[in-house]
Amino acid sequence: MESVEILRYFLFAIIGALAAAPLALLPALHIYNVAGLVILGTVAMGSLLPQEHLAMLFLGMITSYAILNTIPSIFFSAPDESMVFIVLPGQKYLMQGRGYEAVALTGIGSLGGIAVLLLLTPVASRLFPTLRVILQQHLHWILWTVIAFMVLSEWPKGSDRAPAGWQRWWDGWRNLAAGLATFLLSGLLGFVLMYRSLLPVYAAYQNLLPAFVGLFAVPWVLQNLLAQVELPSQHIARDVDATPGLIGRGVFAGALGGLFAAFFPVVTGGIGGLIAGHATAQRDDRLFIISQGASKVVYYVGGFLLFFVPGLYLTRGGMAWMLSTLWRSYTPQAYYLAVAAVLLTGVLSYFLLLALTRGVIRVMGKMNYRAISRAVLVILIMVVIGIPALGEYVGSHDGRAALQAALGGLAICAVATGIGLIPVLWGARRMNCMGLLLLPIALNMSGLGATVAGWLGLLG
Amino acid sequence: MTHCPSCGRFVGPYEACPYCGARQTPRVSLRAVKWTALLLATVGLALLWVAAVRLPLPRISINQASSTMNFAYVEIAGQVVRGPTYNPDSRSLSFTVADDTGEMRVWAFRDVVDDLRAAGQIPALGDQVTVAGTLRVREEDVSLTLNAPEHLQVTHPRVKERTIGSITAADALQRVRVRGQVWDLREPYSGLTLITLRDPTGAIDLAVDSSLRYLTGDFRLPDVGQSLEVIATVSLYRNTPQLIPPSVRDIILLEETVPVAEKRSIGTLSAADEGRLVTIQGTIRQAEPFSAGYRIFLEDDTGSVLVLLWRDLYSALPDSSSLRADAALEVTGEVAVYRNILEVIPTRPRDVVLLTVAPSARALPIGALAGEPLGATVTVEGVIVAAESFQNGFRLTLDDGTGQVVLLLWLQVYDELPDPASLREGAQVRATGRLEEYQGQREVVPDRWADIAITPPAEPSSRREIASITRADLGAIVTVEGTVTRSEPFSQGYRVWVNDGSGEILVLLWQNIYERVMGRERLTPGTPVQVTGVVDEYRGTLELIPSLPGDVIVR
Repeated sequence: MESVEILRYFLFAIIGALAAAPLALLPALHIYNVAGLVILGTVAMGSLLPQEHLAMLFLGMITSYAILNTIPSIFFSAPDESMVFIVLPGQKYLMQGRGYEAVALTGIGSLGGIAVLLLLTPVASRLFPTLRVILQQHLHWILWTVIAFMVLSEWPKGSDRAPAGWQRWWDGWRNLAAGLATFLLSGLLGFVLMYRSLLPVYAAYQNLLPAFVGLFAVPWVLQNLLAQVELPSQHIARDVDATPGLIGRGVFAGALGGLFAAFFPVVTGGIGGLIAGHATAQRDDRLFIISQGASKVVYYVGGFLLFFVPGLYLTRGGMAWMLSTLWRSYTPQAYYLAVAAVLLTGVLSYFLLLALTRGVIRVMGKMNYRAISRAVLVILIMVVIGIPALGEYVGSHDGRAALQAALGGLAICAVATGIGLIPVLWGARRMNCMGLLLLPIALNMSGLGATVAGWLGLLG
Repeated sequence: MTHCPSCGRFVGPYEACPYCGARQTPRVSLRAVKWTALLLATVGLALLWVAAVRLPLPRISINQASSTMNFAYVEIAGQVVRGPTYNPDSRSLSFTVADDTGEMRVWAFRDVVDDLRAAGQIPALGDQVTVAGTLRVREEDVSLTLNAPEHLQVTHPRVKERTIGSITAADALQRVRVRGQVWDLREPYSGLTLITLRDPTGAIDLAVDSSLRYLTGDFRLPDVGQSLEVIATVSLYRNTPQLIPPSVRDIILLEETVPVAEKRSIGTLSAADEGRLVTIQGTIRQAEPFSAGYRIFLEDDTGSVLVLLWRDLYSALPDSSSLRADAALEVTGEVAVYRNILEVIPTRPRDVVLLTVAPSARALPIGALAGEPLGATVTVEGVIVAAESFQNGFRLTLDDGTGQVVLLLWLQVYDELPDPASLREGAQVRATGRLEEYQGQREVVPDRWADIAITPPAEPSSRREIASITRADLGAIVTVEGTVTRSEPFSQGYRVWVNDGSGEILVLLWQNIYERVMGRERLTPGTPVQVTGVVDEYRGTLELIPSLPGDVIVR
């Protein structure tokens, strides 16, 4: 490969990172939605650019997004499904006026995550295919173990102040019941969407988009609207309260969770982070924030990088699934170039993270927080209506079908919002919403998916 | 709002400010939000479910599948044009469905495969299928994953009765029923067995692979010669029709025998039959070996034809010694034309059936051979009184008291004798062969070792001391016994010096003799030997020249 071509690859990765930077600041707008629009554009207008350049563009976008979406997660409280854990300690920092420091700690964790990916590069092409062969036969029970851990760790957390009897029992068990209900309801929604989605076929590539927006993004925005939060002024620190040892431990724990999430199907960064957090017995908020930064990068970027590992043929994460429809990596050279691009765009994104955080802090005091939340809600509704409708219209050129797609997206989002609000309102983990994928896929892997779908009448 | 927007004082949940009376923006009831959320989650989900189950599965044509359809749950309909193939490692089943617009691979995994198998719903090549599942669009291909056995409907095509010879490439993907005899079984690679089926009209391979066995049941391979009725789909392998059964249960063993060839009288065969398999019956007029096997001229009332038995087939025949003139034979083989001569070439030993053996040959007095026509098959019996070797065989002179005749043994016949060492001067020999003439002398030429019966001679009584052999014995046949003192090769054979204590004599073994001496590798100093040979002299040295390999006995 010529040097000019290599430079062109890096250029597209940088363009992707720069393009994703402002988009990552928009609360609840997932980079997968943007990538979906690019795919849609490719289908509608033919190949806009060579597929390998598109791959590099996506790589830059996801690296930038994985690092920069910390800003809305902390300042606008609109996390995606991989971020549900960062909000509590992150918001704690925010309310103490230390939002910038929380972002910086997450950024350090993200850089650590990139370093871990870099260290894995020489062994990845041997390690992961071997690991895959070993684990392939065991995925179903591992997934059930993850689910069991997730559900069982939602133990009763009552206030111990309710009157004795049923009320006290309910006080202790309501969050547990809410968690279970969330998991089951989202799982049922997952079954409906996987076997008989309301979305027409041309919008199928974003079949789960309205559900994810409804489960994770909309409830947070509604919570912000209801909570009427008054943010304290933020202090831009010149240093962070973390030692190298703490950073190392945080990166280790985060990378462990991120790798687990990246490698296993359906398991997201949040779930990986939960398991890794318990496995490494984290107690410190700083360590927690750092680990989440690392976990997020390893989950998003590492998962996407697996797509480039020669001989692995592993597709993990929405970005890789979308790209796999157009392009596949076959050579070790592509993999090494991808790692180099991640390193380049990762460092760039870290500096963008600090700069943009300072910018956000400057303008935040002048903005109406409720107005922002309302605007975000409007954006989210436009996304769940627009993307399915556009996909259907581009594919079928049928206005009615596009309208059906829009209404279908809205209906799915509304139901998902109801489910997503349950953990928010009853104090359960929002991660239970991942039942949307976990339940149907775990049942499918165990050979029971079709049986349950049959009970639900979805096979008729 | 917790503070009055008008006076700025704390108002808590009041709807109007208790200080200035300004109306407050009503607060949202958390209980209402909770109930709304619950309603959306439960009733909304129920409505979504009701709407979903009423939706028909979207059916697409195969070329419609595009990137934005990735993960769509769709239905396709078409014909199975490849597969099914089962991979035991991933426990996956795959087959390719084609409609008018393209082809798509369909996959099923683990329990879905087990359920399909248990229900006997494994689709076969040529079946019409309607299959619904999750669409996977990749850069390199588009595939569909079958998630539920219920989402595969299989319609079998109509079965047509056909003769094997009528099946052509144009019949690809047609379902046919044929009856034939197992002609051949072979395994080109592990996991695939090809059963060649024949009927009088032609032959075709029936492919039974490990996928078929796993998916449809265990299967005991038939034996060659057994007759089968098979329902199968015609597929093409390098444009040659081949049969793929939908299930091993569609291969049925028949009680009766399906003929593999048409019975024909020899006179009706012509060049137009080239390539066809025929069964002919007749009497052997002449049988003779040739470099690559054996030639038989078979005749019936209508004509004669050459039957060609390749060497490996001939040697595999259980009663090849009976294939001689006047025996009645049934041969099934392919008609061929070579240099304008019509030939019938059987390929399996079972296709050469001896109906009646030739009348038992009565030994003729050798003196009476002069009255027999050349080319006739005759049997003679006599004692070997002389022998000589030549490059391609041995000439033995038989004497029965009425006369002498040469028994010509080609090396290929000699080499097949079960006990060639017993063939030496003095042995009693009964042989059947063609009567031929060479340089005015009549010869009996057996075609095969089985035509020769040997009674070994008694130990030679005229054993001589080496020292007693003199020039006076030149041309005489003598037997000596002694120990090898030295041996060496020369350009045309081997020289061995034998010493019996009284003296030493050179034994000259021509190459064709030396190569056939039993235990020749032990012709080294110290080995005791017995040699019978003609006394000769070369450059003043007496030497003993054995005429037959059996004349040299290595102790």
